[in-house]
Amino acid sequence: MADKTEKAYRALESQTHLQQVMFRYMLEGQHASEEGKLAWVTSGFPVEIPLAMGVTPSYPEQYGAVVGSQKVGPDLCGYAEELGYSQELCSYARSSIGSTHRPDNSPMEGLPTPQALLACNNICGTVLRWYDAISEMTDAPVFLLDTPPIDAEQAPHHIEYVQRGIERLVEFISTTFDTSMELEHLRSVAKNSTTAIDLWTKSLQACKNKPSPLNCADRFLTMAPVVALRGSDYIIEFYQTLYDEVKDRVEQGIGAIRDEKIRLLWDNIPPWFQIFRFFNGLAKRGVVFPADTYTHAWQGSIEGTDLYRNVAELYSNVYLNKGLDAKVEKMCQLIRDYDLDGFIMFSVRSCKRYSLGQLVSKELVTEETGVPGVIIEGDMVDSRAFNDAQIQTRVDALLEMFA
Amino acid sequence: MSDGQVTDAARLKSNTDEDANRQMIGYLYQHTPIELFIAHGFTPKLVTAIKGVMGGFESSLQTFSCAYSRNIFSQRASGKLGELTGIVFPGNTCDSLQNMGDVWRYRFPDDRVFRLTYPAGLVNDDAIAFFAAELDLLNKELQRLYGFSPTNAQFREAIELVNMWRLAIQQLYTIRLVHPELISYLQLASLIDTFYNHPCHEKATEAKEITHNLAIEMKDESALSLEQAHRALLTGNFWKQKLTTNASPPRLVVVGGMISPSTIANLFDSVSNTHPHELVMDLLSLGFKTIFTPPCNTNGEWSVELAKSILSAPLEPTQEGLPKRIEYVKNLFTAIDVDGIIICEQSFCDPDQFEAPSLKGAANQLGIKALRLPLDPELSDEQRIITRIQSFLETIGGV
Repeated sequence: MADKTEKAYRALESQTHLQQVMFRYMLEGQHASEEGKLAWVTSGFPVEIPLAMGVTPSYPEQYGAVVGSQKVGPDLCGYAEELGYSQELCSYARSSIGSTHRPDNSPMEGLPTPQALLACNNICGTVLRWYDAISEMTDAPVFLLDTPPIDAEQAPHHIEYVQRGIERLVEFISTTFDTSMELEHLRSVAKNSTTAIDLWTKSLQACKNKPSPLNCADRFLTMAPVVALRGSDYIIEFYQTLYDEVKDRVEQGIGAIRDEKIRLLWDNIPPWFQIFRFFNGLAKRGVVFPADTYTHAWQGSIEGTDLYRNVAELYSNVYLNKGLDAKVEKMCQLIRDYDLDGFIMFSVRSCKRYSLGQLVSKELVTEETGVPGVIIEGDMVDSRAFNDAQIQTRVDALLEMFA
Repeated sequence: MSDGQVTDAARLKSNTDEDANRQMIGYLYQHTPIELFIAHGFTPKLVTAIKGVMGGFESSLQTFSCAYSRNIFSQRASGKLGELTGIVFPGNTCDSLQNMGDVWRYRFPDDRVFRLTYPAGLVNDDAIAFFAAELDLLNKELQRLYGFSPTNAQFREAIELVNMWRLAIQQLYTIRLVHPELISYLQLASLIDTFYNHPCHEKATEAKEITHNLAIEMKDESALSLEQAHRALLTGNFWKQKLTTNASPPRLVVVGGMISPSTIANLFDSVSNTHPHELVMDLLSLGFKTIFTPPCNTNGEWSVELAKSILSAPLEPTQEGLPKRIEYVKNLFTAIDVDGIIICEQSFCDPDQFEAPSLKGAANQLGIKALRLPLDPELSDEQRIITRIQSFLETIGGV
């Protein structure tokens, strides 16, 4: 029997704390739904606004990750397909529609019933159509915070438009939930958000060290609170615990994997149904991923005198709302800052906004940094669109370049 | 010929000569403000999917990019796009076209690529102000690159041209809905396609004259009811009234996205001999959804008025407002005699594929048979599509 300490990767002790935090998130969501104060929100939504107004958020994308990791993606996506939604559509959307249609057959009996659906299209255009579909099923009204993609610099009329959207959002929440906005409360929520994001960012940046204290799977799991509970006070303690553990690893020269040989960048959402198998399998071959484009997306802070304007600027300028130039620049910067040897781009069939352009950006990143990369294609939740053997072959081809 | 007619003919000739020398600007999204490009002296040309383009996108776009974007990209890669002085990509309408614009700039660095970003939220003063500002920016960009600043009169003339053409085609849609025997869908579709390819006074006048002649032919009919039907289609306010009384042969409506009315017309024409039917209406992005854009006011600030007009087009699936669109469709189907609905879905098209179940549900609620028809806009598997249409027509009693 193999000794636990012999594994190629090291589990984080903070994971126990993480489970407690996420359990509380689940309970709070159920309670809020019963109280008529629950909103489903997209991952890039300025959640500080509903939180400051006493509305609890629940994240269908995070639920999609749970569905994926429990390997029931094909089942839940299939329920949506029974309703007529094409298999070519986003699997986060399909699993969400499927679980709403058949909660009894879904993990945790689906997400708690929402009273409103808050979508921000700074991550993709799919979210609006997805939430429209959920609205048809639940009668919860949709609010779209429209943040049109930014080509280069954000123009003044763009900021004005998004800021007006924030103001209308406050009106919408006030009407829908019979509540009001206190700016001091928003400032307090924003402070919690900033503190947690700062701690999270420090943990990410600690991965510049060699060996890297965190691997991809570690970050994808521990990002859950900063996605789903940004603005809550109790996640600060978790991120402090995580950072302490990361710092400790760095000080002691302990890596996320035991024998770090190759350092790679990961681009895109992970295949949730293979998150351990995929990354730990590579860990056995000495491959670590000190950085990725996905978990680095939650950055920035809400501050200053004009909070709504600041929210508008911050949430318009997220990674996925910018053009190819910005994405290439970010990847090159991560490769340089984290001293990476190459990169893997996961071309996710579900996610056109994230994935279309990778064939070009792969060439540009290699040209700019001199490091090789490979594109593998599949899906993040629907394992039917994931060809394991084909992916391994492509990854092997990349790794041979480092031999 | 009266003096007025002589003047009109001379003007038409002059326009025709001038049109022939105009540079073309390609555009991909049906709600592109062609008036702006006409005012700048360009011929805006809608770039549509074509048959027979074999690859070219593979090294730049994944297969899950929408069928329309793959076809267009392949046309450019294989030199089949024709001479364009620039190409306009829409922003914020769908992820495939959004990202393809970026990829295009890298792959074809010598192309002049413009991006016009649309608001996706509900139409309100903020959305209009945003889009008007985008139009102003595009206007300035054109001025900078090509050194020409249209006068207000030139903007007005361009807007009037498009208004005139749209009004004529709207009336033809209405006539066909009520009296499909008077004008074939094929002819209607042809009038639409030719204007999209080359918007000019000649084409607009032709459409206007056809409308005028049909109106004379229908002089015994109540002009008021046609006008009411036209207004109902334009506003979506049907007041629970029947717009049509004609119930045979089986009457069809085609719903869908970026497939051209001509492509659809030819497809249905090919089955009409064996399976009689009337395709009384389309709700296609390149058909009804653009044609029924409300007229642009020529008296206000051009960019604001154009923004108001474009954003008020009905049934636009790239914008917020699914419940309103479904309500419109249900009210329309209640107001007209329709035996079957064919919902075209382009592969990997989010707007089409997300909306299709709701459209099917609306048809089911009204007891109307509906067929969901997955297709590529270039009809790469035409025979399969024809067979499915034939089967559908048989189920609704078209044989």
